[in-house]
Amino acid sequence: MALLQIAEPDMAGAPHQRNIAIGIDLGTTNSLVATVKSGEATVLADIHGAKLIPSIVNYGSENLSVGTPAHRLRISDPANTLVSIKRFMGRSFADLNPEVTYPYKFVAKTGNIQINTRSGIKDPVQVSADILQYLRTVAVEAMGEEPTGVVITVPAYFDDAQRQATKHAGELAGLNVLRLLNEPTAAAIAYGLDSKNEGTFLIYDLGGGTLDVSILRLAKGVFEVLSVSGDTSLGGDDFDHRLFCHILEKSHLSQLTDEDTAQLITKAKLVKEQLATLEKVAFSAVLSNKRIVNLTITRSEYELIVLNLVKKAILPIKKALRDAKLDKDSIDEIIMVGGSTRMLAIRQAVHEFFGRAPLTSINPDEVVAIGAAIQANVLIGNKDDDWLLLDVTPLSLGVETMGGLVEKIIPRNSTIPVARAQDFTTYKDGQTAMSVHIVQGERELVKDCRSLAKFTLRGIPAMVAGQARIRITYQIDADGLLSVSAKEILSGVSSFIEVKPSYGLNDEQIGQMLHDSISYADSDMQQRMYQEALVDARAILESVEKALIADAELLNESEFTQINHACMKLKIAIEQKVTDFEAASSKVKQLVETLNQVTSDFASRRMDNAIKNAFTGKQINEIE
Amino acid sequence: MLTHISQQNYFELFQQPEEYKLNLTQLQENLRALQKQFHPDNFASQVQEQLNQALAASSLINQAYTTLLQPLSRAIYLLQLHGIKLDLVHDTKFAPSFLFEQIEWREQISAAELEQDFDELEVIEKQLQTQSQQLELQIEQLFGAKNYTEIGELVKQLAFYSKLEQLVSNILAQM
Repeated sequence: MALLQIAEPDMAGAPHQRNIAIGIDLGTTNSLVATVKSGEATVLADIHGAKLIPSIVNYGSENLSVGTPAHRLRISDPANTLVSIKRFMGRSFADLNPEVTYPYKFVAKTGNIQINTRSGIKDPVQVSADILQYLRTVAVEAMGEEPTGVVITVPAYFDDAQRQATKHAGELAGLNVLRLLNEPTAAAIAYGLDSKNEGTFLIYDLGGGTLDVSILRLAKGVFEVLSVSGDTSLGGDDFDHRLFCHILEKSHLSQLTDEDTAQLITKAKLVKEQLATLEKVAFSAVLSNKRIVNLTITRSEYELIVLNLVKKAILPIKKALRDAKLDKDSIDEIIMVGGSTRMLAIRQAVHEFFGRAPLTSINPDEVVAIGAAIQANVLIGNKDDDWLLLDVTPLSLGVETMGGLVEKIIPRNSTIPVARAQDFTTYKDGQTAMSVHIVQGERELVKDCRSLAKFTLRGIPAMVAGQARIRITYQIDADGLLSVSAKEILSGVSSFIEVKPSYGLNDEQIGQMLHDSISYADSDMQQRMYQEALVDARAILESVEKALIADAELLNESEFTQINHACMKLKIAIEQKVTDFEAASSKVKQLVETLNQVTSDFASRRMDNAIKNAFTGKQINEIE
Repeated sequence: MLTHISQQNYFELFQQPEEYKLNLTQLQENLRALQKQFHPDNFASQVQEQLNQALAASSLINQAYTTLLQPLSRAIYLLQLHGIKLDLVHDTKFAPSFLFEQIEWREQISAAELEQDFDELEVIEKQLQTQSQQLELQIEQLFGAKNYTEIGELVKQLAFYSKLEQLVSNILAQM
């Protein structure tokens, strides 16, 4: 796809000093890595020449393989060749479709998903990290250096647990994750910047494991997401599986080995793909008991057996339109993204719904990675073009109230970043702690929603019941991730909350987690708190130092001295040898707080300065 | 800059007159202009403190926008600016006729939900929207006449309809 030529800005600094950003489409079936080189975004190929790198990892006894070589091992080594791992991210065993059997050796059929492989127990985050690590080496090979930052795409309909898991995987792979970008939004960026069209677009993104429908408005350089809907467990894989079941029925097969199943599913997938262009396809396989399977599948036969899936795949369009308060005629263009939109049945269903043909001319496989690379390029400071992205959170955020009900705090399709506060009070005299359970979803009852986090707020000053005013602030950032803070207003006590993500765990396990955290030996806890205080201290010292280098002229002499002084004191404190961890953390925290206070004006001035210069047309990074 | 933003009321922030009637197109344009300045993505390569300020500013702008955009929240906010604070949770005084109407609406919705009657629910949705729009017109007139005390009653009614619309929307979304 020919992309917009974006001119390099006049910048001092040799080309090799320019930061390199990459975009990664971490797909269910295939992954891609793209970058922006000389103003043009391109997808990189690995050493096997593949731009579409199968999201498959094989765990051998000595080492692992990712992509094409792993794919070859799928049929011969199904137990150790993990495919479509994205479907397991942020999920517990109970979330999986019970009709589908996997050839993997699951550690347990409850709780978090963990798989026993030849080289040890792997969880989905680890497996995704292995794929990301591989993509990282592809980038390093192509660019000659490590990427400065990466944007990883996620389905727009992914919930907080699935997003957190993806971010963890990125960090585990040693990547600096700049942003989690929604896949349809990424596609819209690539399409919008290329076509320069304005208007209202519906992105229909059907991949290997997920469906996203996203409605965006592109106007005057702003990409604004109006609504999002989808299904995080509907994709090409389900169509493969339906065809596989049909083949079993038709051939009267039962009790297959894992290798046979892997072979049949892989071949069913191929048949499905071929039916996009052929009216009928021959299917043949030799099973491990030497039995031969030979049949023909016609397109109409296939479309009949997947009819229900196709119906399911149209529902989110209705929901997205309703939430955006638009009718189907208000959509200027329907854009098909994702390999599974090559299926004729899908294209026809979408065509029928809207009464007109969708746009299928853009590369459905590469467009997401391209969009991610473009966004990554902007986020590392190469602001080559003037556009902005306003995305939304796909699911409502709520808190558990009396009787197992959900009270919604942040409704779905709220533009992010977004923050809301809620006031609570105590129900018993002298109550000093409070449990808060945060969920995501649209249902009325807690048990029907996705549990995000349970946390205990401690240190509430003992008062008469109903007197305390505890304000809990929920913040959803630009990645769509939640963070929570709490404060008792009357006393001003800001209690430390540890948010424990509870996805994938049952109540007993969560209870155990909370119990464990309470029963940490006192000294262990203090040592841990000291370590955490150190990390904070180092981070703030680094950022203040950078700021002083960049904008010292915004300070007068005494302010400059004051800030330097506060830095020195903190530096000295963190270098000291510690015997009393409690006292040491308290001291470090105090000095960090002081440093924060003395630099607060400075930070505002820097911001003002940056904005002033933005108004006068200068780029922010030209000032540095 | 952040303190400056948080000191303005939402209308000032969006450079809109402090009235109930709103120029929607202008509001949307101003949202884009504001987010172009303050969205965290513009400061992605900057220091953490600036990122945090941008996050807070951007969230505040989004909140102001959502408040002004929805007729119900706009009315509540505008009343607040005129010193009238409504307690929609605890103030449950309504004319009996209005309460009966509400019960009827709920029964209709329950029945349609039980039957899983998509079309009927859509019809109810449209009727609720018509009711809301009528109330909004009345509220607009009262704001124009600066008759703030009477507006409170109508806003309470609008809140009821808003809740019903939400209910129907959620039922439809799950079907």
